[in-house]
Amino acid sequence: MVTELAPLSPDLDHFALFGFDRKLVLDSAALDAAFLRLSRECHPDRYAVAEPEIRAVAERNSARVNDAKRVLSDPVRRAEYVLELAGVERPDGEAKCPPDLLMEVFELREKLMEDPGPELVERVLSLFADVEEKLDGLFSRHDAAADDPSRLEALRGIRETLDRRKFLMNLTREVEGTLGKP
Amino acid sequence: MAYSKKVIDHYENPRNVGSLDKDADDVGTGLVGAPECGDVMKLQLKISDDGMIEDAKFKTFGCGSAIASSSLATEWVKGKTIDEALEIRNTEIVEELALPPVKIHCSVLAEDAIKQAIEDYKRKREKKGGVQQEETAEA
Repeated sequence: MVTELAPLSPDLDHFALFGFDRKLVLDSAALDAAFLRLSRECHPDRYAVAEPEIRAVAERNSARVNDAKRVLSDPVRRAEYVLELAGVERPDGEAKCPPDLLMEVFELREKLMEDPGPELVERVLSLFADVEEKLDGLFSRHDAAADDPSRLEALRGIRETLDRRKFLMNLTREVEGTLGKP
Repeated sequence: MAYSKKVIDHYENPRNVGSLDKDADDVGTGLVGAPECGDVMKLQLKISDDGMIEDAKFKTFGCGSAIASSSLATEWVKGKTIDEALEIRNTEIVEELALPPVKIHCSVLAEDAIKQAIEDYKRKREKKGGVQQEETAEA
């Protein structure tokens, strides 16, 4: 049994916690391995006989490691988190949602309501696939960026593409509903 | 999380669902969306020459709160002047529908949609006014 444990530094972001660089393309096996190592280290069971303060530290560290793992495991949440760290926000006001995106999504939803034919379903699914592909490209571009301005540019593109993804995601769910998929 | 009775009522019996002619001079259209949840809302107002809102229609693809917020908004603006309609605050919608904090953005969408529709109407009028002036100048 272990009786000593230091709290995790609040200065570490989720990436630094696991010893990773801030990259959007992340090897899930490496993440699992790092998570396992850290969560063993601070598992509250190891500190069953330690002082209450140490047990509290173990609980806090565990919760923190679990949080970090949850965010980093999911590519979209990971990207949202990096946007937050980098302070990239949506523009205020009318430009918050590009009007042409709204128009496109609204028209697709109207059509889908009137006639959820196979062609339309196909189109929605392919639009969603395009967004996923674009996102992958932007993730790689972000990770390969040589300087801050080009990294920021990639992040702005990611902000916009994630919003587009969200609108299309709802449409895709609707479409899958009409197809009888879960 | 349970919806309030008023939200369910608007959701089950939405008021003023439909569309107005977006190209008509006396119709203003507001199309808004929330990237956080992917909801889209269209609100249209038919406005008389003296600035009275004669008719209002909406179409919303989103959650029950978004539908209820836009349904309520169309009910409230009908019979109001555009200046009065611009005074409607999302907080009043939140209060009326008893929306929980996570659904406040739905009421914000409805307020934005009213504002956008009125802006669109004003833009059309200015444009029309401009054309008329040109015509007079040419004559």
